[in-house]
Amino acid sequence: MRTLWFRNLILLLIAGNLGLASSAWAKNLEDQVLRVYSYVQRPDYDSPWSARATERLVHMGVVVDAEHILVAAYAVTWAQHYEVEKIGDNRRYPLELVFVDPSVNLALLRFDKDRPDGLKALPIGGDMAVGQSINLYQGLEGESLVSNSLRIREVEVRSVFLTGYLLPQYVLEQRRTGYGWFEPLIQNQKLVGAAIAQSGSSVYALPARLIQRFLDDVRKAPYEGFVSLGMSLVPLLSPDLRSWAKAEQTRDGVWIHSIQDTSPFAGKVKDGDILLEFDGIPVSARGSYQHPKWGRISVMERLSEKRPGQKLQLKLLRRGETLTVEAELQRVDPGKQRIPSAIGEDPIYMIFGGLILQELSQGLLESWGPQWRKRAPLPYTFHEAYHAEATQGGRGRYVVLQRVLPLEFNKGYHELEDFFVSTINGQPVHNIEDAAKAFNQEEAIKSGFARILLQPGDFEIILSYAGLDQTDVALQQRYAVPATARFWKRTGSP
Amino acid sequence: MPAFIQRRLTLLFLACAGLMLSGAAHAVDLELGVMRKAIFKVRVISQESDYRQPWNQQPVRSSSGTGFYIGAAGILTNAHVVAQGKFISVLKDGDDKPVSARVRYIAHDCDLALLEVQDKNYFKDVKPLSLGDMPEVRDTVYTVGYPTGGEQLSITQGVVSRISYRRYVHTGADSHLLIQVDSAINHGNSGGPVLKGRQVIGVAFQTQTSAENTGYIIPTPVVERFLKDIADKKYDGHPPQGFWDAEGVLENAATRSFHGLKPGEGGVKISKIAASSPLKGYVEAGDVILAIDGQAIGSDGKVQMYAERLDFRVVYDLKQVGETVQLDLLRKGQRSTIRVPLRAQAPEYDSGKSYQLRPRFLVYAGLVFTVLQRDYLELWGRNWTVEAPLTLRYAHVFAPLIAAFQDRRDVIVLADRLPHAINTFAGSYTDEILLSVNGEEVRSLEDLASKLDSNQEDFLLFRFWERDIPLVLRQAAAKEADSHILKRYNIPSARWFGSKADDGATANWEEVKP
Repeated sequence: MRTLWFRNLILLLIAGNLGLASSAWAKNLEDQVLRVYSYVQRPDYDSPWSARATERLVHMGVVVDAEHILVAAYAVTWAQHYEVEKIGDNRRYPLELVFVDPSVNLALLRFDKDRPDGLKALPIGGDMAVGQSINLYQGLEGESLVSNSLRIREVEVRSVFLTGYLLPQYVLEQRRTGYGWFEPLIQNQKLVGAAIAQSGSSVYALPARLIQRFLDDVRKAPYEGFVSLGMSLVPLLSPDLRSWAKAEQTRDGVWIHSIQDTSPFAGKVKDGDILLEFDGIPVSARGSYQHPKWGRISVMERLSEKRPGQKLQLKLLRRGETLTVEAELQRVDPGKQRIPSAIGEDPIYMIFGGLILQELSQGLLESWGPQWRKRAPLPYTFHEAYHAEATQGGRGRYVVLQRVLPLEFNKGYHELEDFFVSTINGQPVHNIEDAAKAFNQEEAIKSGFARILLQPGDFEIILSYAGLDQTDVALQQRYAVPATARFWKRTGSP
Repeated sequence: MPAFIQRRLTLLFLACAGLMLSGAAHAVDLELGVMRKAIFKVRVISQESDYRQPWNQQPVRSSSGTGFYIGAAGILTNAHVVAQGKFISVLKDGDDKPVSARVRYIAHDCDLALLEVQDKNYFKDVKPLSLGDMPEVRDTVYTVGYPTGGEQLSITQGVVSRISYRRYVHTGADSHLLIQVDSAINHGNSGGPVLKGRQVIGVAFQTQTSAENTGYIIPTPVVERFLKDIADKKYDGHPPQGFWDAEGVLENAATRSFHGLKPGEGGVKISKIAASSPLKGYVEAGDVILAIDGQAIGSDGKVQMYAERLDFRVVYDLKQVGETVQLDLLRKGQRSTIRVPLRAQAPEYDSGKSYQLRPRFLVYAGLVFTVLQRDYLELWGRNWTVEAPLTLRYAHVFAPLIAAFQDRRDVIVLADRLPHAINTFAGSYTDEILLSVNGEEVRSLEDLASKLDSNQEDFLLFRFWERDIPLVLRQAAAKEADSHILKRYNIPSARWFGSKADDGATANWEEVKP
């Protein structure tokens, strides 16, 4: 009994000491984890020449060296101004953007002129193993950084908010909501990750190695970025499908499908090939391999370690024959998707006789709100889900008739909205430049009529070229469309 | 706005009369006299199939409506009152004994049905109600029936507020001429006569849930078209359309000039014609229909009819299948007059609710295939237009425009998997649309059956729409497991292809000997 009492006392003393040490360190942490404000002005997709009211976003920033602060890419998307403050100190200091990579959802900011005193870089740690505990820090409101001790439940390859790019992420158990907006994960006074998403009771965090890679890459410009396979992998579990595909000799290997034109392996890998080895690593039927620290994880995890210009070998099984293919990896460019992600680019549009033509983008889809998958027009959501593959060159887009600004000129078409534009003057339209060129077609202009075909349903719009200039003036006067908006103008020789 | 988009929108604002319960109706003192005897309360026990497991039935429901005697033809009521009826009885005003009835003809597309009764002498003292003409807007009319299940005949006064061409919600896919009145139509009123003076001007049938005191009635031209249709003892339905017009575009000066319209001339511009449409081969996309049966069409797409301006489609829609319509066309500056027989030219996807006895289905190796139709989508509840799987919703709305679905009788969907070792990995294909078996396109359930029955290859390879990975089964093992699965899951019959005549009207009476 006595020994037990004595042991408890010792434990209490140790705990007390630890508490003291950690609170002193937390004070120290205020020199390393700052509060960043960004002032965001998103485009108004309804009137694509204008922007919506400014929003203020509050999030955490990590001091990575004397001059730079690391934040999430979402926090700088469409931001016009940034300020930073130390927790517990209300002086604000302006920042400027150095670099952003939406694929990994990271951005680097730099102090403009002044900076707070006593800043210290937070060193970046190594990989954590499943089961280890870390501390997640948040200091959005109030005067202190609040710490949460969380355990890494698993590591999974998951799409990153903003672009959908696949990266390995720690999965942490956290029932309370309000996380996943870039809270640093700290262990042994080192940055071991950053929370970038929350879904239900799981918080998802980027491992430190991806943060380190981003920083190294930015520092030794030019930035190389991440790479893409340009194909999808699905589990090959059915033994019947396996024997039909003449892959009975193994129980491993994952099914490859949806190979995009832009894939470095286009022409080398075929739909229905079975991926046996990725960069020399055997791949299971579910597309995974055994990671030394993270356990079973999708082989796509290996891709996050590859760089543009590096070669990648895939060992395939095709109708019973094994073959090895190799390709040089290219940087993933979220700006080249068919329906580009909302990563800070302005809507691409054009006004013709009061018709607002716009390239379909994730931003336009999200203008139907968080429930856009249910609320946006069915043809849009269907094409987003099933026909959004990137095209060679990256300028293959869907041009849509977003809406019509009603005038006498376009009477009869006032109610039209949310259609795909398939052709203009008989020419296929794959982006706004195509549309501008097609309107410029000499034969059409000579005939006096512009013809626009909408889908689904082959709905045809016929407008006159005569009177377009007056129409543009009327739009400026009546609908306050600025003169600087992108009105279609005839180009080239008459 | 093309018609198919508009149609979907309208649907959201309408609800079946059976759902409507509120509304401030004011009873009035119309002297019905002997007419009372011709108006019946119709009581129905109905049962609908389970569309996920089509050999099963949902629980029975009981409901009631109104019907009225129109002479030798029998009792006229709404199709939705007696749809999927298993037992129907009618009760005369002031009578205490319901009499068994059955459906003689049912027209789901225009929500009408004719009933006959077991007792041959039942109508001896009953004077039939006679059908009158179209009323005019602002005419006072009386809705008569048994609303909200009451036993007493109720009369509600209202005023005709609009005559238009609108969606009939019973199938959800058909539009016809209808009359809007400002009196509430309640549950139980359905199928009842709407009177102007001593004459019936229509059948009360649906209401609008988003507005108070708005009732809709089926006018006599639609009723008379139905009666004429069944004169050959077979209901053929309203003529199929399958064309889309670019509504209102001829109001545009440039568009008018492009097409060469003369000042004052109107018309509708056709934007798309489905392969199934009677107009296929007669009318082309881009043509302007200037007049229908000699009646000039305005640039609003309307014609002068019944003292109103009504959609030109009313003229087309009131014809019988096989009759001809005369169209004045303007094509590339050339004017012509053509006559088009109104008959479907190819199978077409029916986007309306079917009300069949049971959905067409086929079970093979534990895979339950059925046909995509509105009834199936309603598995996702009232909000199926947003809750159902994206591919199914898109296929349903745009089927006539999707190349992969042309020239097919059925759009086949995998409804369920009855688990067995041979189909372990088929579950992820549930609610996907079947395109082909072993590389051959599947055009109907019968086609699928014959392909499965005759297959001698090692593997069965099913390909689904918008799905890259095929479903593969071992043919011999699948064939062998087939009967075990049927036995294990107690499935009475593995196949039901129904018949074209299946309208779900199976209610009947038995001769009971005392």
